[in-house]
Amino acid sequence: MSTYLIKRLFMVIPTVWGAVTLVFLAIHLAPGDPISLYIPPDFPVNASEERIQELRARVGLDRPLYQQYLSFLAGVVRLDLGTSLQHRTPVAGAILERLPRTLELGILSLAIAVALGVPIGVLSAIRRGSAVDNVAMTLALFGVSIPNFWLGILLMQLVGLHWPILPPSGFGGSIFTANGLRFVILPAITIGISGAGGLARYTRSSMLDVLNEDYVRTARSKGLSGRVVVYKHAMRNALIPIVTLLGLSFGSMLSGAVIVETVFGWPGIGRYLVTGIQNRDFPVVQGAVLFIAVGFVLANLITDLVYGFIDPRIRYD
Amino acid sequence: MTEPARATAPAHAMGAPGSAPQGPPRDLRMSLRYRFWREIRGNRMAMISTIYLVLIVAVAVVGPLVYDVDPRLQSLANRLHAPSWEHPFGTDQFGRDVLARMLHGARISLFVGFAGALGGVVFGTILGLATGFWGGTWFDHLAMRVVDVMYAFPGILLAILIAAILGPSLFNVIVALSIWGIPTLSRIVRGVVLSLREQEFVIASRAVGASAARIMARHLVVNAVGPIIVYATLSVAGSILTAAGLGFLGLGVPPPNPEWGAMLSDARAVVFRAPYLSYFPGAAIFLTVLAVNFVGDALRDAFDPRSEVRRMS
Repeated sequence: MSTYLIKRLFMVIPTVWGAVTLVFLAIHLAPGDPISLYIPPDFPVNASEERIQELRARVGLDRPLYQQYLSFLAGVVRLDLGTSLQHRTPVAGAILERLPRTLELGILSLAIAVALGVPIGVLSAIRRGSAVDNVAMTLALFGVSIPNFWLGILLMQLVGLHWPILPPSGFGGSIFTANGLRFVILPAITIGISGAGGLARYTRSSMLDVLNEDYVRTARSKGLSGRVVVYKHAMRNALIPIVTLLGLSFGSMLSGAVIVETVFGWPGIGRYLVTGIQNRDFPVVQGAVLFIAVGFVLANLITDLVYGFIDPRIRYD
Repeated sequence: MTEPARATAPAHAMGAPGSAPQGPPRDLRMSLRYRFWREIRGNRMAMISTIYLVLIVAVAVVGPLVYDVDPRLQSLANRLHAPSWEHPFGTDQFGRDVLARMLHGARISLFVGFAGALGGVVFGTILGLATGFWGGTWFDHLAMRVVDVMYAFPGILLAILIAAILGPSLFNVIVALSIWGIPTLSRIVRGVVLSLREQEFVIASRAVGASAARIMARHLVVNAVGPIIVYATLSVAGSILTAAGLGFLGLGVPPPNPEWGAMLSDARAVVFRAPYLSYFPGAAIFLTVLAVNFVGDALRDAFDPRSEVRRMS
């Protein structure tokens, strides 16, 4: 177990390094001058060549490419993600400040997705081919197909115009306070529903795989009740691959948060990223995307570790 | 409806004595088309979805010609009018006619979605073929590590990054969507090719000295066509959804061009004053993606029953 743990931990490093490298390559392989990504908003449009060269030197784009790459890597390692063009503040600091908001929203969304998706998937698999299965899988496909930003707008309109039980948007402090919790519910439901659709579909197919296994047939043939077979034999094994999916789901929660935070004015990393897009503030975009990618890689690491823990068959060599 | 008549023809052909049951069919492409058609026809939701998709494409092509209103024309006197005879879908906060924007937006949104998916499928298939064929070599390892790294950017983030670097334009959105689609397709094609590569017919064609390109084009692609079409269909759904997301974030086709995702972003700004504004583009995106997913699911049940959706959003 401990060698597995250590090896898996070290596997994260090349992935993170790869992600950083990919961002760097994308910036420099894209057609056009990368300096255009680093022009501050107050920069004169008809600036002289001298001013542009000066800016280039300030951003470091005048140095040889390998030096730029090394300093980019070194920056990320020191958690220096550059400076916002708009606010002239360090991007990493702004992200860390907003991190708790996004984590709270993401974890709550994931909880909603699991609470909805897993039971629906299990039920669908047990009643395979029935009306329940059809309705559940159609609903799941709705969840997968609905643009989360539209769902968010619809929910806002529902509470804002017809059913004022929750604030339609905004932020009311930490979600561990009563007021803060009221504000997080709608965005969390929005993200959770999209995730639930995918989880329900995956749970169903995972459950169906297990229900076809010999040991399930054996359990049935020795006369165990359907309930015991489903919950003690089938479901516990079907849930194992679903744990892996939780890491992936967390990624889709983060990616959903980018858009949904904007819809609801939720002050998290996603909102920060989108403000960066709107202000043409590339360091903000780059920093936020990188940060979310690394967060996603770490989430997958944690699920893999949990996976190794709950499934003793997993051995890493 | 003429559809069933057309569809029964191959059914008879297949049922004819001595044709289908024994041995592989003579013309693989014909048989694939038949199998796809049979699968869609047998599934009511997939059938309805196919009809819907044909209709929506027809609307995109013909609509702007029939309803001849400029989707970019602003009229500050006519801001935020609710649907009426004059403006069947109402007007937005710039006084632009929403129906006209929906119709022109259908062209842009569908084109971007399909073109982006196509790009991802073409490049993903090429990469999957190459890595599968030369599986286990340094090239395969390197390419698959790159694909792994691309997976580190969940959901729409990879597309956001590329679109933000390239800047908003129709072509750049398609490039961003194409790159976004490569990882999934290349992994699937690689998997299929890895299993095909050891089969006798591939070994035989190697033995008679067929070139790598010939083996890939004549033997491998043809046999991987089923899964490719299934995932190409599903990636159209993902691509339309992601394109709308980019549009919503202001990274799509630049304004004042109408695009469904960007229209939803405009609707968000007046969410309580003009609730109807979000209904049209939202429903259009949702129903189109849903229809493509229904068709994709039906095809997958037929061709790839033991698979799972890798990318969830």
